[in-house]
Amino acid sequence: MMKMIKILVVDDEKDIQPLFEQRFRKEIRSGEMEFAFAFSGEEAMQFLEKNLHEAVLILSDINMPGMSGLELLSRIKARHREPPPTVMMISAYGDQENYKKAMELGADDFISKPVDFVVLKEKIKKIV
Amino acid sequence: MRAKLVHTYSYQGNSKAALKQLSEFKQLAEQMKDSGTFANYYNTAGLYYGMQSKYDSSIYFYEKAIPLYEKIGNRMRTGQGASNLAIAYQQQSNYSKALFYQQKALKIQEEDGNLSSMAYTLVNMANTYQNMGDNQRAESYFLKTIDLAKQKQLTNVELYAYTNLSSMFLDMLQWQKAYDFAMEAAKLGGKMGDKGIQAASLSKAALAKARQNKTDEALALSKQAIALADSVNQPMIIQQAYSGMGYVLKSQKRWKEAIPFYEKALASLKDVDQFIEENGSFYRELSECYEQTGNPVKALEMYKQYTLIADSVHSKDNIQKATELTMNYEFEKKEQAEKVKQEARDELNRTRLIGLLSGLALSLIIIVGALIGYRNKQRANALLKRQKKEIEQTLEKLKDTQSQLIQSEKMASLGELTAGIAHEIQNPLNFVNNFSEVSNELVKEVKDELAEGNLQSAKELLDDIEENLTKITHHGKRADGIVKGMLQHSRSSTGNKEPTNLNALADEYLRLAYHGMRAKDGSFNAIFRTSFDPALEKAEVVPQDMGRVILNLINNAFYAVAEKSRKEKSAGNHFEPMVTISTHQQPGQIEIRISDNGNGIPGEVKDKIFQPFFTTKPTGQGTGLGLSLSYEIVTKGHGGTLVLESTKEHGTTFIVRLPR
Repeated sequence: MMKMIKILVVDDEKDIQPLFEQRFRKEIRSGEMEFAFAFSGEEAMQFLEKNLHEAVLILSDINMPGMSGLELLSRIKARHREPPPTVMMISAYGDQENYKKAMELGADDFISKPVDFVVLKEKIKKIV
Repeated sequence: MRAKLVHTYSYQGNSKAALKQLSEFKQLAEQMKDSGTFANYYNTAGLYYGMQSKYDSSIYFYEKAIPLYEKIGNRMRTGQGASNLAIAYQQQSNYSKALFYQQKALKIQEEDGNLSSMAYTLVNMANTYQNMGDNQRAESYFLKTIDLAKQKQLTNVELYAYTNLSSMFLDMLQWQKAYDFAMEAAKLGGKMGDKGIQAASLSKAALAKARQNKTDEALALSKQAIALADSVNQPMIIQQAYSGMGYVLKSQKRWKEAIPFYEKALASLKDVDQFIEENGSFYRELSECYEQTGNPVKALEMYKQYTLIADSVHSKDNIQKATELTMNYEFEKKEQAEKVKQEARDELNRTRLIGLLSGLALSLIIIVGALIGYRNKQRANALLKRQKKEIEQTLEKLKDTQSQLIQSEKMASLGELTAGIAHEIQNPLNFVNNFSEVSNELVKEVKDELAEGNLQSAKELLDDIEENLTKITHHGKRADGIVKGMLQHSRSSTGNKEPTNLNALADEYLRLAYHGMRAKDGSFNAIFRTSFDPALEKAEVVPQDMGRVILNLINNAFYAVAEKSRKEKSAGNHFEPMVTISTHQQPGQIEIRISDNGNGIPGEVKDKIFQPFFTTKPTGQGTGLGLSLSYEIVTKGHGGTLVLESTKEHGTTFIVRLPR
């Protein structure tokens, strides 16, 4: 049996939760993946504080009011945890500049919206 | 003697002393109780006030003096008084009264056979008619003037009439007559040895010929004019002669040949006065020549000069003025001579006639002064008419520009928006695409479950599908709303008010503004807080207009915090940029507050901030219309108020209040 992957999804759009739950329903049902959701950068930080070693993969939107995805990324990567969790950025801003910035801050991958879940699944499997 | 002293003091500009003499004169008249003394006192007072440009008082005294002179049978003084009174009326643009007294004067002068005075009165009358726009009568009176002036050899009066006639016909576009009189003026100027006037008149004649398409003649006249102008070396004359040639060549489309003449005409006035109207038109014509010869750089340069001058026209018809001054000067000289003779005669009589006659002589000089003033006024009237027309045209242009600017302001904020929208639309699209794909998968699963007979699982899946379809519709509509918002923003307002949920509107535009800002500046970030009053009633507003207001205010807020953020960062300080938008239901009104924690707005800027074109942003970054448009929309469009509260270092709050 495969190891369970714990994934934290961060996005200010609430509908992201039913979307992920449906798209990954088979993986969730089989216990292959487990999802948690945060609707802002701040909420994500709180979640990570409480569940220190839980999430191994974080999928984060970039454009959120308050703490942006990039800020969240840099904070996660700056935290002393070995190994740091894998962070994949998801953004409507698929431009070069955002991509570069995310990579500089230590993002492990970058996906632009609308999300292609087939690609996303493959990437998750590869990373983990 | 008193009358003479009054005149002398008046001429010296010593009106106080003149007034003192006048009052002593009055006492004298009252003591003597003599009609003649009274008449002289009134006459002198009329003259005094006329010179002070106090025409009401002048008229008052002259109207007392004239009947007295008539009573004692002093025809000459009656005539002169009437002439002076007419001038006062002319100054007040009361032409019918002016004509009445001019005719009175003329009648007396006619009966006395005083042809010289008649010539002056007639030329005055011609001017009055020209002022009234009665060019036909003006022409006939100028012709009568010429007739008399010839008889009495008043060449300066004759020349003045020719010059005026030719200018009048040029204005009336009657080229042949303009040419004829210009030629008469040139001939007479030549006879008098005044080459300047000769040259100026020949240039006028050339202009008339050019307009008649008689190029050869026009060219020949222009050449003559230039030769004369060169010999007198007077800048204004040179300008007229050379520009005349330029015009003749230009009207023949001989652009290249015309250029040096215009250049010379303009160069001649370099040291005199650049800002005269004619110079302006020369620059424009020269610009056209350069354009036609394929020199757009020069053409533009000249056109700029033209607009510069057109903006600050003094508008002087210099050549005419020169002629006129020459004439007035000579007139004055003659009158001085006459005065000397008169005084010699008076000396014999040794009576108070001295006062009367010197008064007469000075009255004549006053006519000259008044003539100048009067001609200037006539010119001022023409200038006013022209300026009125120009102002009307400018106003039209301004209205045009204004609507274009408003459109460009919309397009500018639209540009900022599109970037935001392009990204903003990806979010709903993400849901539409994925929820529909996943629903497709779910349908297959439903089929599988049904085939296996698992009705309960199938039902659950169908519930999910139903929910997904609802979400697809929701996000589809959201995308639709974003696109519609963009289109509405770019379109002119339809002006239809409809009940609008301002919370939703504010939220939508806040997102657009935020994404727009992000798209422009990837590093930009700000915390934005919303505090929407759930009890907010729907407001009757034009949604796209109010949206534009909210967008503008939010954009400004973002701009303010971004500025401060940059400053603080470079100073190594920590700063958390924050923009807050809140709505409040209040009794009788709705309030929307948009706050930032930027640098605040200084007092001097506060006063101007709603003025059109006022902007503190660097050139090219703001149109300066955002806030003035917003202000207009809130106040005029919705009967509300838009105010700001700002404290230095703490930030700014814009408050929109809309009545129910």
